[in-house]
Amino acid sequence: MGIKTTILFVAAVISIALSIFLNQSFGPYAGEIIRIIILILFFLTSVWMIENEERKRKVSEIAFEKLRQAYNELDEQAKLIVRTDLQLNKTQQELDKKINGLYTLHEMGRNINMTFDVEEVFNSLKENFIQKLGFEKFLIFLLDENDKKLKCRRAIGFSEEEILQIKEKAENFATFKNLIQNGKPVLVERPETANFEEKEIGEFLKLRSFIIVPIYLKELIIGLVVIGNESLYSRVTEGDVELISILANQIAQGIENSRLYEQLWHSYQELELRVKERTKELARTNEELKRLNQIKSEFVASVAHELRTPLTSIKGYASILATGKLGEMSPEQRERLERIDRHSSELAKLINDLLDISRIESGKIGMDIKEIPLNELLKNILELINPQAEEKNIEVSWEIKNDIHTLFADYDHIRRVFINLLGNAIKFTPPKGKISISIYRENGYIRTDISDTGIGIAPEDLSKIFTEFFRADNPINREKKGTGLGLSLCKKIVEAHKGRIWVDSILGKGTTFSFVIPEKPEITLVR
Amino acid sequence: MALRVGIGQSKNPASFSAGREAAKIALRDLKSDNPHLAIAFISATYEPEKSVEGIKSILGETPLIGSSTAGEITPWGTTKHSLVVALFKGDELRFSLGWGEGINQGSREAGHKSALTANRKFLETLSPEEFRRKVFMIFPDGLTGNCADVLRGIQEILGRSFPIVGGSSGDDFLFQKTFQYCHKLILSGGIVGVLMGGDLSFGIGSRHGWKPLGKPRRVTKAIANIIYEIDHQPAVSLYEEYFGEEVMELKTEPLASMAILYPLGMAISGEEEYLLRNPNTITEEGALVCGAEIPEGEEIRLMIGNKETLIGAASHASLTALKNLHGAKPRIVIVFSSISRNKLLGRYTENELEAVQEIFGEDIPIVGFYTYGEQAPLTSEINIGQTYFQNASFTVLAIGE
Repeated sequence: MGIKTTILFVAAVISIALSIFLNQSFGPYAGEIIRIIILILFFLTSVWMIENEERKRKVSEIAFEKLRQAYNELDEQAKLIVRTDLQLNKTQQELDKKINGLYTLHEMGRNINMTFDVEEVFNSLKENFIQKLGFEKFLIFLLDENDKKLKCRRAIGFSEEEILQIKEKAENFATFKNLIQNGKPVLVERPETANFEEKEIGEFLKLRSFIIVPIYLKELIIGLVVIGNESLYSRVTEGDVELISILANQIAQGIENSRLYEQLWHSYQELELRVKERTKELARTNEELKRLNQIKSEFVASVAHELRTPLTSIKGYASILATGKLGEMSPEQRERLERIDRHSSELAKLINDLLDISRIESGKIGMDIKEIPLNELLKNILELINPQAEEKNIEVSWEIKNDIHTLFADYDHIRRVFINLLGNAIKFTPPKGKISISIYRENGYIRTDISDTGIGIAPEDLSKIFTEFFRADNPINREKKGTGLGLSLCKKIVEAHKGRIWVDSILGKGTTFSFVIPEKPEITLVR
Repeated sequence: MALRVGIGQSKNPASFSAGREAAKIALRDLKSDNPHLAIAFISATYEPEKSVEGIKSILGETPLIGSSTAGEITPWGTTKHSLVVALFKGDELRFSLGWGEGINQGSREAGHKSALTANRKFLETLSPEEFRRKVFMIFPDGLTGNCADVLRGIQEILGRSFPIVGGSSGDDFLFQKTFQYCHKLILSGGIVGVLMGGDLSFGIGSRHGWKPLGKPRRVTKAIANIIYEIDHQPAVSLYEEYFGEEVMELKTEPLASMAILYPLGMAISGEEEYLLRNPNTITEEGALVCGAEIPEGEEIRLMIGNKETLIGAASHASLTALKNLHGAKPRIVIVFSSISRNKLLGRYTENELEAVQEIFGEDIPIVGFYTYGEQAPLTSEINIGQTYFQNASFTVLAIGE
């Protein structure tokens, strides 16, 4: 019961009580009048109170309506907040994925480029990379170069049995075939949007959302990449197509690099093989040449030997004839005999030189290397040379530097080198010229320079001068005979000493012959 | 040091090898042999049988309990598609394992059985006078049945105020099938639990960080964990209304993938935070299937959170767990973090673990997984509070001595 009702009720009770009291005090009429007045008053009060009540109710109703409106408005605001938040979350997820994706791609690219082996390119695509990109499963197929069939080269997120199945059946999917032909990437965001063939692949690979992109190499499709997720809570999106295309590009680049490297390696291998073959061939030719040379030397040696015996007889008979014991000689006959003797001597010298050259060459005679007192050797040589020099008024000087006292060499042979070179020097040096001998140490060798102020050698002849039977064309050579074997013999002897001989010359000014032989003989290790 | 722990992880794609590797690494980390308990968090991408075989090939008969996941948590960060093994050893510790199957047929019975088997074993084989039961850690299936009923079943055995904590198994965001592991047993749609007792201290902390938004709604039709109608409309229309145009455009995308960012909240008197429910799936009729019930007549709110409130909640939960240790030295922190958090935080997910490390120190071993639901008392400052099935929370169990 409300307060107002209570007041009305109490007022009614009081008025009834009052009217009874008034009836008793003032008689019925007065009482009646008062009662009527009270009733009127009561009625008026009631009307006033009811009106008041109505007014209050209206005010509170309006307030309540306003409140409800505000409440609903707040809920609308809440919806706005949720939508904004949802958008924000989605954007953030996309952004996360992109940032992650780019970062991971970069890392993968680096790994791919670290290798030159195609298999390693595939192996470098690790599961954690694929996961970081936001995917569970990953496949690479390459077209086989021979049978043009798709071969699975890398599978991530599949069991071994699944991989076996994939390898077996991949060839049959129309979507793959189409993609190889038209190169258009396939994007299946959710199973509902897939066409029949795509659904087939999705079910086979247990992928509910996936992307397939071609691998292009120089405008040619060489394979494809499949990537995707089973869980619909991490779907692939359109942005991923771009990302995976970049990845496919990187893979193609890796494959290309490895192929180029492989080609390079192959051609290198081939080249090396050819060089080896050529070297072998050369070695064989060289062996053959050596053998032929040996035969030649032996032939020369035996011929020379065979020649020497009759030559000795010729010389012998000639000298017997010259004594006149077999009858007097006319001056004409004597002159012819002397010629026979001179030519025989020249021939003997030629044969001896030839014989020596071939013997040294074939190794039939070795160098008997001993420590030789240098002074003694030079004195001996100069004694022999000086008369000839004096005859042409040529000054021969010599100098030994670096405190050298001995030489390790074969006495007889090295003497021949000196005599030959000095003989040549005297022969080609005009009267009043100079010849100097200089002996000194150089890099573990003893070097000898024999210089003259002679006519010199033409530059074009320098390289041929040590060749057998070569004779430079000059007036002296035209006048004086020679075998053309002297320098060749010198070369053979120096080389047999493990040394080297060469010549420097300026035409018209002079010539320097130099040769080196080791300062110390080779030490033979006793094993 | 009476309590030793060792953690191992493997990302080997082969299930058997992964189990073997993770167990080996954990054993090495334990620096001892014959552990008393092994907890395994196995990504749903692994084959259950082979994974268990792999683990057993190293650990033999060590009691094993575990769950499939939607992501794993280790001292080295959060990962996907890995297998994590945590080992416990302590002579003064007692562990007994329990399990119950068929949550979808009888949620309460399954819970009841899991607690009963574990409890009976604890009482029968271990000396209850010497070793007090301390906490029941559970891994129930997160997809089927009403997990609130599972908890009721457990509480029938252990009592309403007995500390229960755990996480619902995940399956890598597929919402198809999860697994629970107990010894050699591999369950799907079941519950496994380990009753821990003896000389150990523990601290539980749980918080989510979501705030109510919009006007309160009323659940007008619901059976167990399925909400059919809200304000006499199909339940899904609540989300459609709030998501607006945005959702129309994405009609074919599972709405649940967005809805898990905005859980439904119920006010619980005397609690600071709302009790949350994620709609895991949405039926064709527009009913929301949750991990546990929202009773008919209940007033609910749409909840919203952001990075700051979520990371703040992780810190808060860690701090509560540490406080609840009452000065005992923490040896390991087991974390059950919701997939909604993982989804919302994106690449900031690691920040949650940093929050744990800030409270417990850089070197604290952390192990756990991303769950389809968490079981813990609501924001309680004391361990002894009624355990609820929650969603979207960051639940921490710190074990110390």
